[in-house]
Amino acid sequence: MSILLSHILFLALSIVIIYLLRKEAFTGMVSIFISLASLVYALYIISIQDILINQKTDIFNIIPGIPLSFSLDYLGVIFLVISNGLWLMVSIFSERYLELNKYQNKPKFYIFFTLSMLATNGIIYSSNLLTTFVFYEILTIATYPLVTFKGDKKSIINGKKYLYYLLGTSIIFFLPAIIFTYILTGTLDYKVGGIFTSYNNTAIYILIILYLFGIAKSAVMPFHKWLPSAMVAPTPVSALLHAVAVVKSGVFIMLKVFLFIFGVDVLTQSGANIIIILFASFTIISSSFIALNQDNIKLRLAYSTIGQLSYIVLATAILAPYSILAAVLHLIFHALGKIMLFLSAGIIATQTGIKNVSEMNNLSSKLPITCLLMTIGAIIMIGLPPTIGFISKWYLLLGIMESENLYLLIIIILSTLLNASYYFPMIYKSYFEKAKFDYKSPSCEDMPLAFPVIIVGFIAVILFFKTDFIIKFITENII
Amino acid sequence: MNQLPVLIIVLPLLIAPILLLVRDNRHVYNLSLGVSFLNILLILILFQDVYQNGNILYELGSWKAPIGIRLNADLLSCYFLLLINFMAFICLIAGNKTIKSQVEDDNIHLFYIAWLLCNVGFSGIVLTNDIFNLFVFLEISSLASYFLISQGNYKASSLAAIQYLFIGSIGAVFILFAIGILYVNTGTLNMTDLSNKIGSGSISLSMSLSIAMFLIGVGIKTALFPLHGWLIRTYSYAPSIIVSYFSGTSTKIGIYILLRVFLDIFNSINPLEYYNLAQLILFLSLIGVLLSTLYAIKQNEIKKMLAYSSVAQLSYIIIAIMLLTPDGLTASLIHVFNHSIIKTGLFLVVTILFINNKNVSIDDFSGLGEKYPLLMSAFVILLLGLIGLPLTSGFISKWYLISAILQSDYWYTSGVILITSFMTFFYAWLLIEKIYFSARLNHDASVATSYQLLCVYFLAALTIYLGVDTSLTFGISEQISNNFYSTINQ
Repeated sequence: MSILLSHILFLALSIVIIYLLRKEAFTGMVSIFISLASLVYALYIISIQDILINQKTDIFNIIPGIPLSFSLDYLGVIFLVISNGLWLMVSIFSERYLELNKYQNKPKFYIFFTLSMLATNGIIYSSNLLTTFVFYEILTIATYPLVTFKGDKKSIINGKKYLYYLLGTSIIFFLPAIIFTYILTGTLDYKVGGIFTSYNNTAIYILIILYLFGIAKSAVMPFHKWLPSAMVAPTPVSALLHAVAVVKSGVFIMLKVFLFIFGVDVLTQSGANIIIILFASFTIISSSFIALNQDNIKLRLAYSTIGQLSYIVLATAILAPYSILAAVLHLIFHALGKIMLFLSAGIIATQTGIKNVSEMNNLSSKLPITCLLMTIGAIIMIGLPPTIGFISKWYLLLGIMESENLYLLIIIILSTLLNASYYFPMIYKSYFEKAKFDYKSPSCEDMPLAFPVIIVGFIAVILFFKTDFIIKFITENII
Repeated sequence: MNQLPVLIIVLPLLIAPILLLVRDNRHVYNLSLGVSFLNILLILILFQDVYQNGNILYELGSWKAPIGIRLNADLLSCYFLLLINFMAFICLIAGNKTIKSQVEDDNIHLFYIAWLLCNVGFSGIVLTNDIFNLFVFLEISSLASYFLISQGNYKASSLAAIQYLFIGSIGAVFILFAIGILYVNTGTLNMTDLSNKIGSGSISLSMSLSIAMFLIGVGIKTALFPLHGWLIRTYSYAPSIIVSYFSGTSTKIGIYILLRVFLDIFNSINPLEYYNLAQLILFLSLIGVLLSTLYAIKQNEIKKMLAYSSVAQLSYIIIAIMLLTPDGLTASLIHVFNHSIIKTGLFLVVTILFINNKNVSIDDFSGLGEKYPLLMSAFVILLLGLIGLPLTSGFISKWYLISAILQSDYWYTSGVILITSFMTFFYAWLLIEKIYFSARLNHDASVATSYQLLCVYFLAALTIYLGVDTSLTFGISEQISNNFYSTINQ
């Protein structure tokens, strides 16, 4: 049996195990072990990647002629490590987080959490567009109970919005795009260089728009509203799923569609990438403006995510080798940075009850480590040295120079300024502004809660000095 | 001569009068169940035979056609035959308890007799090769249906039955006139003979009148928009088990007649292309899909909601047929099968949970997710199938439907299909939300027997199975539509 299939089956089996156990007390521990085992799986798969690359395992035919089929590609390798590695960290975090916040019904939480990760891994492994679509829909359905986990009126309303946006776009745009692609090309397999042998420009333009709207998980405007709605979920969900697994799946599928369905040549020759560039640029700027006005920390982070995702989409659409490198790098780095920010926000809310930026005055005296981690995350988002965010932005700029779309420089610079202007207040307030209310207790840092975040922060800092191997891997294999 | 086709009709026909003598409710039930089961076995054997060796013709009383009456079992007949009898069997198993409590004790044995006769009618329609015979069988099934519908314990039940009787009779009269005109023009009633004699010449005035009458008659039977009103009322007031049964069979019979008459008998003159008839029906159905989906969202009563949903789904099937391409026909046949299973499953859940509730509103599903976790997951799977999410049979239907539309001349209508398919999600979600997120718990829901539960689980499992293995639905459908269109193109 293929190792990829066995990974998916292992996750399916562990869902059954959690269901059968259903003990409030130790499902958290079980889940940590499952995510650990999943990470081991991922690392093992990567260690034997040379054998696995482009080896297809067909399971059964979804539609006659189009099987549910798994394979591994180099882009998948990167996303695999990121998602499974961060899953372990978030599992450790959520065990403590759910306990401190006195959440009930933990088994349900972990069942759907694991199912979401199963779907994410399924998206990574899928070797054709239809398989991707199947897991894409499973991911939407599986995250819904997590978004509405609190069960109050607000989360049900927001959950409905979440579903309407994601399912609606996938039914109205994504599915016909896939069917149209299949009618035009007769295949849906991802192939380096694309599957369009002959094409006309109108069809490519229509398809690009359908895919752009259809893969709403990448939160390109105008179908981005689901992401802020999803913020009613408990923090671990927002952190892993709505900053890494779900949204990155969207961007990952977008990358794969652009590179392996259309192919760089078709997109440049038809000029269809201009459409993507326009939508992505618009999203980058407007989401930053919206983020500026958000007082709620999680909402501000959500709008920042929308902008950052469009960075990746934009970088891909520029189609220059450097910009594709930047896209893949940013996929990794944004995941690390944003998860730190979200988890810090979770810690802050748990320990002090603060949910808004305006209340963050002098927070660093109370939560020194958390504030430091949040600062690192924020600087990664802005893209300043000495953090990894700078590296991806650097290559993005190089890519823009290379492709001679110099007007995009203005957008990048403007958005960097905007990023800075909504992240710096968070840093400034927590360190330098005097508290309106006196915090009596000096420090209330909860080490078990902070521990996974510290590890992510540590990795993020180390990576700045050790990016060579990632860049080498990407340039050798993907571009 | 292979005796199977006639056995399938005669066997229940013989049992029906015997039931009248037996009268004991328990024995009557067991006997009807047994006949149903036997019928399915026979159909499977017949299907196998037809699949391997092609059409099976059976001359009744050994009178040769066109003088004698002939039964013709081809793939299309077998496909519908299997579907109808399978649905009847499932509904019989699940219906026992409901029928006991909804129908008066003295009438129960009559109820089962009517049920068997109704099924005989359905089976006869799909098997016969004689168009007048088709009308006779249609009347048999209609008369039996009137009785079945009137047995609901609502005040409105008899009204619904009378309405069904009136509208059904109007439809039947149209079909009868159409057949009469055909007979006058050609001098034959045998379908094969008819299609030869109609020839490929121009369409005469009387022939176009016949076509128009067929269209109206069949349109009423299939609840073609805007002739769908009776379906809503029938589905809301008939005994709920009958609704489950009819949702999978009665309207599908209409689809069968449509296919048989327009694509088989008339295929040489292709009336649907003539006068742009197909285009007209297609756009009517598009409006139908849109409106009935909107109505379905607005309904608070679940049976009405599902009835409107049925109208919408039937419109999808008709749209696919009216594309007049092999892909379209394949898509419609696939959806006939998948939709029957899903809709019957959904109605069955309503039936077994609310034996005595007259008007089941969406609110009645409040909190049932906790009370019946398994049954409700099956219900949700069926709903997901209705929406058409991947790995359910609904997805297969949707894939082929959209694929067929995109490849036809009417590609621009795909937008309506996609948007309504998303709107399906709206009303399905209303239910799911009530089931899992409502604070109030409904205590009225009745306890289901294990047989009833098994039926629902089985249909839910089938929804997933047909979404994964398409060899039955897609394989057969493709073969049928290729047969049809290869003869048309000749």
